[in-house]
Amino acid sequence: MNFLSNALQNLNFDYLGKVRHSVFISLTLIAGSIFSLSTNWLNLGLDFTGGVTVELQAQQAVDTELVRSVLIDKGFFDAQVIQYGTEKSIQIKLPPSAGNEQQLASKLKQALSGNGYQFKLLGQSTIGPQLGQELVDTGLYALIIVLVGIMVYLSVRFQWKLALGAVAALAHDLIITLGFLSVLQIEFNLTALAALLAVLGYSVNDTVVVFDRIRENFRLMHTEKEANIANCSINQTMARTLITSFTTLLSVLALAIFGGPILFGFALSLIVGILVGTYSSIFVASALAIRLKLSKADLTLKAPEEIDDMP
Amino acid sequence: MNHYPIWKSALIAVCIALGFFFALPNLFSEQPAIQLKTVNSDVKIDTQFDTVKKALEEAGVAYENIKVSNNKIITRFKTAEYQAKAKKLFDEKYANQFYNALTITPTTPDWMQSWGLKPITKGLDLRGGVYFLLQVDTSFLISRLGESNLQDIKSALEKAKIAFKSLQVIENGSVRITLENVNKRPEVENILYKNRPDLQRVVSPNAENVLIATVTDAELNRRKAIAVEQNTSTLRSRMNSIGVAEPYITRQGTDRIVVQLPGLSDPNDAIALIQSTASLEYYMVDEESQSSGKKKFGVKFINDESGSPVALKRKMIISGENIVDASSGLDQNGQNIVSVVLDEAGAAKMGENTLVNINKPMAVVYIEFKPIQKVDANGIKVTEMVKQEKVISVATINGQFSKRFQTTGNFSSKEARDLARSLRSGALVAPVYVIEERTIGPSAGKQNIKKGKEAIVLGFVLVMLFMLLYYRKIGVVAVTALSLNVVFIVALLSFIGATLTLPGVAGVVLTMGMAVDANVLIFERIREEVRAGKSNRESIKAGFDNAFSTIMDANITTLIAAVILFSFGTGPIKGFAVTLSIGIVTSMFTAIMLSRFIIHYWFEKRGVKNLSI
Repeated sequence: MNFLSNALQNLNFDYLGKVRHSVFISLTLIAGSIFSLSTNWLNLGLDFTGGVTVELQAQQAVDTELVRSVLIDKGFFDAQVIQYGTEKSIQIKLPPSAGNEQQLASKLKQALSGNGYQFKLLGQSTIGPQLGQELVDTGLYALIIVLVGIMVYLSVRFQWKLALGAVAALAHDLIITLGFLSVLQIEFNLTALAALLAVLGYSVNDTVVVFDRIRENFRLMHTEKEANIANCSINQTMARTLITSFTTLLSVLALAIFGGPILFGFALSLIVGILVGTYSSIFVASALAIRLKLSKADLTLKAPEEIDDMP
Repeated sequence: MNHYPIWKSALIAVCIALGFFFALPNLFSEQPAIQLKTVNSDVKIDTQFDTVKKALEEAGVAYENIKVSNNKIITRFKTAEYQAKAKKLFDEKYANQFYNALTITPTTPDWMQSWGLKPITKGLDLRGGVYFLLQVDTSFLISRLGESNLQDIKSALEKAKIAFKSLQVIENGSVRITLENVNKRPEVENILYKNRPDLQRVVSPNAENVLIATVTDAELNRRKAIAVEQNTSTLRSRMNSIGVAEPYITRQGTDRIVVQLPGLSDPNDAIALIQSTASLEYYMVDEESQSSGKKKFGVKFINDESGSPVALKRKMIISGENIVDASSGLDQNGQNIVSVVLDEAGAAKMGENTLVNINKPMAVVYIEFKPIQKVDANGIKVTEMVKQEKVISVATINGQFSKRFQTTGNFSSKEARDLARSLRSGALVAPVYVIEERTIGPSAGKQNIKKGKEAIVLGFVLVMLFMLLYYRKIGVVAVTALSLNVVFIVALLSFIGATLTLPGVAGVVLTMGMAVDANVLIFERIREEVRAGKSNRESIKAGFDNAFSTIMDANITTLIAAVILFSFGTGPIKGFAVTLSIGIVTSMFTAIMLSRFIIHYWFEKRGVKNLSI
């Protein structure tokens, strides 16, 4: 580990000089994401589509094909049956129907009981179609407000060019994470949405640390060019950026392993989001701010008051 | 020696002590319990304490602890077997005296509980239970408001002897008044103003002789809010009999109600009880229309059970809202009856009406709302509440009614019982239907707790190992700060009574990864200062000082996201936002204040030369 920490401390890499490469990578990923989103959209979960899901657990491994055919026999033509977390558990999904959801779980259990399975009800959810649409709207609303809130805060604490760079980096992370969910058709539900918002929080955190260094260095290095200062700041914060991303990834990995089916989509979105967020705070946010002709005058003229209650 | 004031050390020590203190109740396990509530709310629970104790002792059901709290008697048992025995006892012998509900309670000693120390409240996904989101349909309330406005206006106009062509209820409780004579309009406006100052008077732009009396938006909203509030409390009293220890029923937004029933595994009973809207309305029969069979103003026809129409005077005598108590039973002929008790206002109205209408027929209308799903013009499925009403009895008034009387009808014993139950708890003033329902089986709850615990432990161990490997000695500081961070999160969650959900657990795990960030920022900064040639002591000070504003900025932006998540999110998302926000705040405290404190006493005071950083 000593070697690693020494290596991280003596970085001198020209990130902004590699703008061509990073722009290429980012644009490719964004284009791919948008393509997948426009063709496959997201695998929207019950929360957003409305309908019914029932989770059942048996004593032994469940043959989903068998369950599906039994259900079709019994008249549940639209039933989707998938493995749920373990092979002993299944999730049955039904589209919104004509208000007969209420006895559904027991009806399903009954319909399946003749086939050697003893099912136990793990859970059951019913969401009305109106509510589903409403949750979609609120979710989008929340995303936009988070972006605006962060933009405003950074404009006040730093400068609008940096704020714009950070928000563009966030949009970048958001699109690519959504694209990933779309490509793998991972169920997108309320928890995955929460993960997405957490990704925003995490990614901006990463970016702000770099910005903070840029601001500090703008005051210290009077003679250097802006791009060099940005490079230098990214290098100086690189150890921290990587270590924090790594520890956060470790904890999210624990969630992916042990969190069970409810949190799996959540953990996966976070893993992707953290990776993309780390990349964007190194290659995208600062490069964009420099592109917007961020000058020393932008950050030094108006010295933001330091919070002076030191520990 | 870096300056480090005593008061800061003292403050930090107090915070740590408080953290452990409030987190302490979470170390105690939970035991099965049964909770008893008196059926008759006039009976004080304290007087029943000895009865319960004796009943348990006589039946040989050994209990661990029994106490009165919040108007309930809570008895805790060592095993679920004793709990089941107790349940059987109270079901069989005391069903008329107590509502009983199974629950689990913490084994925290009484002194802790009396200090208000309690473990974290677990959400439904961690303990199993049923969650409903109910939509309150206020449209009938509004049409009824229009109806009563129309009656008021009609009698006012008749009293003033002003001729009108028609009166018609239009949308939102408004009434359209079409006058015979345009010149009478100012007079009508005046009368309206005197009688109903709350209504706004608008002249129709199309016709001079048409005046529209509208209800203001503020008034509409106020009425809706009252209705939702009344429904909420009605549901609360209905849930008493369902066998759930801590039903949580609250209003959400303008026209929704959340119902959480922890521990319940079958939602069907609850749905029947929640949606039951069975109610009664009493009307006078209009004999003239009844014999002629012709419709006339102020009369409506409702079918009786055999399908033949009964002509009713539109003005309702009383409705279910005036009924304060009801019970079902049999009359001397063996017919099912419902006996009702009226409130003061209802009794007065009923008394007056029956006095002046002796020997005239009065009809009882049974009302129920049923949710029907339809496809609207845009092809979207919507749920609509459909009112179903029928005349269940017509009887001649023999004398003045008092507060109590019986209603006979052609109902089955189950219908009579449901009707009585629904009337007793107070009819819902506006029908409700379920738009979201989530059931979490008890075994799923247990699995979720186990998974959550495993994820927290694994996340903690992985992060801890990495920090120790990478930062060595000073990594111990970060790990100590991280451990205390977990204690603080637990303490705060317990203290503010927040509900921990599975996504909330995810929030805790995520914060553990992110919490070390502040420490990493500080340590990396210290390393830089050391490399720049400063002494250890100077480096530590500069490291903390320089990292401070970065930590603030970085965490505040994350906090913005968490707070917005909290205000927009529902249920599970809120749980995530709560733990994430708490985690961010506590991690700033532990990383900045606590790490400084530890480093000061451990490295600086003891004069450790090699920072190993």
